[in-house]
Amino acid sequence: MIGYKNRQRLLLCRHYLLTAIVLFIVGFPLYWMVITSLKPPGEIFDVPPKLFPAHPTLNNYKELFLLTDFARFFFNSFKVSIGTTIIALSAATLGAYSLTRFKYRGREIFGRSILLSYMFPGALMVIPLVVLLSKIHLTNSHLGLSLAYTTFSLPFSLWVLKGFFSGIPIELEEAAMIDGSSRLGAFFDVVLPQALPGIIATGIFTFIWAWNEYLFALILISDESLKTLPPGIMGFIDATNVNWGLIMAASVLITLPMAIFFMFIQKQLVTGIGAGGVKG
Amino acid sequence: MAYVRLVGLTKKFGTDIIAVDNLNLDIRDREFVTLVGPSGCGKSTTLRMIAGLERPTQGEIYFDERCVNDDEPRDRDIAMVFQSYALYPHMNVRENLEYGLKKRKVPKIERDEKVKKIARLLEIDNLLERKPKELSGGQRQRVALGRALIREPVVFLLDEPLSNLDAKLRVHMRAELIKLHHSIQTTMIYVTHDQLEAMTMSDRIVVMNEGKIQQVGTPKEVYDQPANLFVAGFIGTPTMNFIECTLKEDKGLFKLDAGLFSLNLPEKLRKKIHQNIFPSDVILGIRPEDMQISESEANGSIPALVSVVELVGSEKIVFSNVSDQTIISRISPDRELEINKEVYLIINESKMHLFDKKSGGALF
Repeated sequence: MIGYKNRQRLLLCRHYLLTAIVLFIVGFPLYWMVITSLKPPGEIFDVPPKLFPAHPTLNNYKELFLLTDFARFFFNSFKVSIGTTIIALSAATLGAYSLTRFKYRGREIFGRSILLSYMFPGALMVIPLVVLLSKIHLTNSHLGLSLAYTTFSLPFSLWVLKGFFSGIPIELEEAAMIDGSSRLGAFFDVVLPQALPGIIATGIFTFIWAWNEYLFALILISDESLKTLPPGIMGFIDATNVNWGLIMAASVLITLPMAIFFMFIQKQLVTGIGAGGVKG
Repeated sequence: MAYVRLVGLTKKFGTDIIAVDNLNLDIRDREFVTLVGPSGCGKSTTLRMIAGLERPTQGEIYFDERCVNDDEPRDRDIAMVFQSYALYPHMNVRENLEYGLKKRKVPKIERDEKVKKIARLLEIDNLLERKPKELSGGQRQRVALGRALIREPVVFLLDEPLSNLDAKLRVHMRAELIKLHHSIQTTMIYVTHDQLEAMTMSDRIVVMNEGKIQQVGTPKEVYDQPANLFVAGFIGTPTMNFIECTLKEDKGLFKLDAGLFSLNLPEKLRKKIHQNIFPSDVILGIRPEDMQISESEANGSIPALVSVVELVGSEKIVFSNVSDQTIISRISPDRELEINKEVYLIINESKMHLFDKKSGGALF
């Protein structure tokens, strides 16, 4: 007969054990990535593998910046991700406002079928998108890539923001309009501030998605100087040699900004996705 | 200050729903007018059309001589207090109050002056830095009022502003609103479903039902001379008693027959009917305070059985059964009446109302 207190302790132990296991599974590859980036080439494939570099070195990072276009790729990724976030959020906020405030035919159906666009895999969408973009001369450009990324971010952003906007009482805008605001003024002064958690959540989602995306970036960008990080890093692998130290160093630098950013914003993210999801 | 005129105002939603049906109303400058009626009667829709938040399907709205149909809400120089107050949640009280002034580019010094004045008037000067969620219901309501007052509009619109307050606060705020109206001397259009609010605060009441005006008049007119069955049953609490009767003329005398009792119409009322062709199926209306309870039979009295006695404090409300109908009357709080006691109800004939059973219209 296990007493109540003891049972609670056992459950707690089990809880911590499971958490530790999951943490290990998720965390170990990250740890390995970091230490590999600090190992000289000779140590990387040592058997038995070393859990800590014997001769840690920053050489891989030096080579990354001096011998490759990493810095340029980093800048390009940042530019495209920010661009995508701005375009997608602008369209999503205005679109969600339209879906929740105006009446027009097809509104209900459109609102409900927003997420259906995710049934189409990226690989299927690439060719039609390339054809479309080439017709308006936007292939091999950052703007074209941002627009392509928007097609993937917009449905989710619309869906989350629709949930947020429908929870904002329309009287607030009416009060603002009576007070002297135009409709657009009420949108900026009253509606957007209320939906801020949702906007931040979808903004972060969009940014991270654009930052990590590989397929579209590979196919749409042919100019080496315009490449973003994911296809850029893959260029470190050629037919004869895989420079793992370099690749790991690049991976650390790609992941680090996102991890830090996430740490500061995670509270907003949870509030945003959770709260927005309540209203249909 | 402005007078408001509604001409043939109609609002249809889709093809089937007629929310407001050909409304014609003149609201005088500085008047306190209440639109009162049950849920769905069109009062809020009418108010929203005056505010510019809904476009009329037909008809015109005039502020003084100007037709404002095509004016945006912000160009109509009106202010509105919403039932839910609609305070801007992310702004503090001060920012809420001065939002309208900011939008109209009022300079900061003047804005601060006005905020101080209004805050002092409404006793919210110690709350200026707080956010709406940190305020009580009554405080929020005063901020909503302040936000409207600070703009010094030509017309004040209030959409059930007291509904979300507890009973005691509601009574207090009713008096405050009356005082406010006297001091600012601005046209106020008030919407409520509570006929008591309408009666206590208004210069005139507009009783509405199913999108149409049933009667417009002062509280006394609407209470003492209801134009139809609906107004008679809506205004006044407890509600008026209605008894179905037949009306017959016999040698110059008018006899009301309700089966269980009959009486002759008094001289005064007889004269009023004699002008018109009168229907034979009528409904007799008599307010609870005009229905006495006697323990002994009298001429024209109605036998009844006491069923429920409610002590309100200042009086007692008695529900009596007359065959299958319940009649309500009011008695002094000190009088004792047992349940199931046989009593006799006596109608104060000078306070009788008669309505045409088919059309509902009052006979006089």
